[in-house]
Amino acid sequence: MTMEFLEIRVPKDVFRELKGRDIEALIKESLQKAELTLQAEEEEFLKKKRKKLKEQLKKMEEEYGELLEFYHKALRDKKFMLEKRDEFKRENRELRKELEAKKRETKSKA
Amino acid sequence: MRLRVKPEKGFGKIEVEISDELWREVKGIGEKYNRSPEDVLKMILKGKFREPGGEYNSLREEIRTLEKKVWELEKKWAPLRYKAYGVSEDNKLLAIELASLMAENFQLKRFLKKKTKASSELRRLISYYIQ
Repeated sequence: MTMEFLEIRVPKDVFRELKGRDIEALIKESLQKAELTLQAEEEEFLKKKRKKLKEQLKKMEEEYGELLEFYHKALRDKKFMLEKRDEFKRENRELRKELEAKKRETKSKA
Repeated sequence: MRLRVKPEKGFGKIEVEISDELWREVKGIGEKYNRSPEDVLKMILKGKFREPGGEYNSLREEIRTLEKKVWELEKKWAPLRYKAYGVSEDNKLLAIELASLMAENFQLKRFLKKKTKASSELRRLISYYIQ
């Protein structure tokens, strides 16, 4: 059978005060205080975490907003460029016809 | 559980037996706050305690809500970036096609001795997407 064993080192003055005291009773009566202290430390940790999360969320919301704006602008640009492309195609087709007619006219005159 | 307490410097030791029940309680508290039983015992032996501000549960709830918001934004982020990239690539190809159509238009009008009109907005868009 193996016996569980734990060694804890404490500052010298604390050690001196512990000498002669009922350690088990001390642990028993301090458990609740220890739990509350851990809760206080956890609260501090959670406050820091909350601050970081808020900053992260703010940054993400800003970047998401920028991306959304970029996307909507790109969609508007696409619509505009598609309209212009169709306009140019139509106009160039007409201009080519006009140029061909002009060439034929010049040829027939010559 | 046998506990041995020693000073950080110097000699001497205190050895005590801790009941299984008490040891389980110490371990339980440590686990609840992600700390080792050694940490809990050390704190008790040093006798330095603090009082919480009573915000523990509300802080945990607030953090859960914030984490959920971050996660939801992350989920929306990737598909939007993919869509934005797709439209931007379409626009790049459109800009190349438009640049060539505009050059052709310019040439045709020159041959036909017609006035050419330059749309500055369109030119700006073309150069923006071709870059």
